[in-house]
Amino acid sequence: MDFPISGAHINPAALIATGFFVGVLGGFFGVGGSFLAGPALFFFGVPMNFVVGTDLAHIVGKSITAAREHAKLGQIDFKLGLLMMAGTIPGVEAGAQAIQYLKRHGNVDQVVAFAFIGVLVSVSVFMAWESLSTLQLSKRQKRNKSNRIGASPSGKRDVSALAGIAKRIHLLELAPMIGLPKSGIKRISLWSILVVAFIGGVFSGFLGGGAGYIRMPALVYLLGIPTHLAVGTDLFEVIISGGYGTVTHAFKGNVDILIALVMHTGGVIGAQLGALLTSYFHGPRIRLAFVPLPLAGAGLIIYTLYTGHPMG
Amino acid sequence: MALWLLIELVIYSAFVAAYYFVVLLFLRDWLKYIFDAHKAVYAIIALPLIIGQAALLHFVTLALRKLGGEKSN
Repeated sequence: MDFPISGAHINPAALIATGFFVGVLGGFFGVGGSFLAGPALFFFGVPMNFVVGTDLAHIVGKSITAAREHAKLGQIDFKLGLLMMAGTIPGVEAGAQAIQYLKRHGNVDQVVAFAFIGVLVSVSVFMAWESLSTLQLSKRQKRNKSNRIGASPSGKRDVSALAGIAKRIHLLELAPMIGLPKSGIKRISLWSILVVAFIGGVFSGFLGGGAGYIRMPALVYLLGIPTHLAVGTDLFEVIISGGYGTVTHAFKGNVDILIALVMHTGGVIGAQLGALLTSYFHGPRIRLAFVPLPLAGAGLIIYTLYTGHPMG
Repeated sequence: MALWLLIELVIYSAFVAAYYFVVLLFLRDWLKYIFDAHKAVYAIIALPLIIGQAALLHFVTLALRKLGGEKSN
């Protein structure tokens, strides 16, 4: 059927199915899913500027209920989230302005598509490397623990191969210095928070979605935020970047809200199924299972660019 | 629980199908007109539309889940 705002012709069942699948992944892996939703929309023949804006609107709908659940559990550092807004909003606007610039020069599809491919492949490579390193690290720690008498068998602390980077960033003395008691950070430069927020915002405004693939690892590995708080705070930030991004991209004529509404209907039930699946499949190897998904998104974009035949 | 999720999926699908036609039939032409003629108004209503839908569907799934919980007790 025709979606007159973007001029795309898409089977609504395919849109609902995409929303459902992305919802399952979101519920299962705790990710927004823009690495698949965006490429899928491009694959369906939606122009790239509409892909970016529409995916932002879609992600707001998805994130609101999830963020509410995290807020109930006390898993959002609101002080950090509010400070990040000062970097996120200018970042989203910078990304949106870049899309407008490319639109005026007539090459938005190609440039955004190649940027998308680069980001998705990088995310996959990083996730594979980090997951394997962390698995090896936790194996070594388990061996060491079993050699010690009285060692606790259930260590639920975050294990990461990149813990040293955050410590070095905390030592950076660039005023103003602030504390984030909820995240257990005594002193950190406000500028490091704003830089992370701005970069996340640029990705969100330029590629659509919540940019959790950049912001989440940055919160954990660069700022040293505990993972459970990083997930909740990232969701809070996704609402800010998605909300602002939806309005600014809609104002610039880059949002097909009908596509977002139809796709979102599938996502709600998919998220529940994804959450149910986590009770059957869990453990550190889950992150490794995530690795092929951004690559699948990159594959969809390459296929669409190569064939030029949108599927509706 | 998995069986109830399947039942929930069927009820939800029926609801979404009905809702989908309402949204598309009643909003499509109006939204296209607003998009073409008043971009600022379109930008202002786009966000509440998706947030409103998220709240509505969240309410529906909660109600279905509550019903499922009562059935399984």
